[in-house]
Amino acid sequence: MREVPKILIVDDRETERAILTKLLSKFNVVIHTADSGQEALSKLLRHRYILVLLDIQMPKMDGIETATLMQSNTQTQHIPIIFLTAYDKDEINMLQGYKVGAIDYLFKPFNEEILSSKVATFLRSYSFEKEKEYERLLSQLEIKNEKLKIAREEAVRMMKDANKAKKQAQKSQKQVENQARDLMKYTKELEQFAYVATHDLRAPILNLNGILDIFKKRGYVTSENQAIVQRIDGSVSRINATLHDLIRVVAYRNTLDEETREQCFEQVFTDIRKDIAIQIEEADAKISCDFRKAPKINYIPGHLRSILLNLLTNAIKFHSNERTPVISIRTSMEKKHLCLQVKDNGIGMDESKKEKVFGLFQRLTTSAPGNGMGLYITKSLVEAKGGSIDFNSQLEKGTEFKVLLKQLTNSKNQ
Amino acid sequence: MVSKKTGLKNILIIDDDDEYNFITEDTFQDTDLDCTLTFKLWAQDALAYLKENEDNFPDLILLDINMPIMNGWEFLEEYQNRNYHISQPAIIAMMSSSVYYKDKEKAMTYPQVMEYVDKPITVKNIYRIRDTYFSL
Repeated sequence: MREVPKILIVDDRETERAILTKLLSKFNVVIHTADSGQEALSKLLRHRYILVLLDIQMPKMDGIETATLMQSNTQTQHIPIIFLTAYDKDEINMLQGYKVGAIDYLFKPFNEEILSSKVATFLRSYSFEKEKEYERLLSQLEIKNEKLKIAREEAVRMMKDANKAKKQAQKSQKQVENQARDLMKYTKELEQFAYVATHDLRAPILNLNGILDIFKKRGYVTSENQAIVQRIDGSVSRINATLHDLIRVVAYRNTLDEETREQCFEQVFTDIRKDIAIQIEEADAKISCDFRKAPKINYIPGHLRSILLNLLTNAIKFHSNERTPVISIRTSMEKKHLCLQVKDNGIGMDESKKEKVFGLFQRLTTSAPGNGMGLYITKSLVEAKGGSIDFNSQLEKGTEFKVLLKQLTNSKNQ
Repeated sequence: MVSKKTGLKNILIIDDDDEYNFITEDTFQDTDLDCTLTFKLWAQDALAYLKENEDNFPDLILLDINMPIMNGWEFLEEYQNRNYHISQPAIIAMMSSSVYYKDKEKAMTYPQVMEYVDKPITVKNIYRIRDTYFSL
């Protein structure tokens, strides 16, 4: 939508303006006229002209002055000017019209052909420039369009990718949720199973025990069947003991909801020491402890007690008969974790069997009683609250267990 | 507090485990108590028995938790529905070989349940219940 170009004719004489208007009327242009420099300037501000035909000799403000003012305004400084003059050609240089933006001169009286050809040439070059600019804009537009298209395609592709990723993520999330639900279900079923199994096993075993007692009480044991009764007795006690520990595995889960409280190691140790006084005495164990570096921890009382009790009883249980059992317990801070170490000089373990040590029903030795559930429980307890357990051991030298415990948030502070 | 009652004469034992009932009976024989033991293997039989003996209600009921068809809890609900816990002076002791601590907690939420006994019941248990709730 290219607009019709406008040309401004500036001359103080009406006849001149009329002649010029008439001469230019054959071109496809809009012609404006002004009878003074002032009017010309005011029109120049309101319209965009492609050419100004400017008379030099005008009263008040002549053409040179008008052109100079046009030059000083950024909006008008590039508008081409053809000066109209009655001067003869030699004087033109003195006027220095070129310096103020003149592209040409027309001499009065006007020669129609010269005027037409100059304006025509100008219009041609103008429209050529316009065409070129138009094409340039067009190609720029095309480039921009192209870029836009690419960008849009990219955006669509990215959106598709994003959608795909979202779908994938949703799918994964769903999978994780399903797995979690399955796991919960299995855990519940396992607990249910363990509960039923222990309960259903326990009842008849308790009966067996009781009936055996009645059998003995009523004096049915004779010298002939004594050995057999003893074997029944032994078997029943063994199954009883195993069941007892199995129940502990099941029952510890029930302590998971227990409240966290600030625990003082000294106190926990003192309590445990009292409980296993007989074992300590029997083994003649020397136990030392150092809780100065980390005397307290926020933890679940039952868990902490169980962990320390298991480690301590293990240290006593697996003592070497060659030397007096020496056990040392200490706590320290290791980064954010509290480190509990229990070291003994017992029979030690083969470190290559590390995995087995924490397994259920794993016993590495027959030299001490037990059924291999203590460390399994301990590990479960420690890991249930974000801690870890490990040990270093040397056969016939001793073992050092190292437990890292997380400070739990105190229930009261929640 | 619990008002001391008269003697402990009538005892109803509800447990589906017959071997265990044998042991319970034997344990009672080891005490110097002179009382009648009535065994019911099914909770619904026990309820029928109570219905017939509302005028001769047991002084003590030993109730197992885990039983088929009607378990100890369901028995207690029906017991409460019949208002026995108000109209009858019986003491109920729950018995279980359960290791599930919540069973014990749950048992104690029933107003008529005064005791929770871990199986197997001992002579000591029996004397303690007798001394707490009954006169000699």
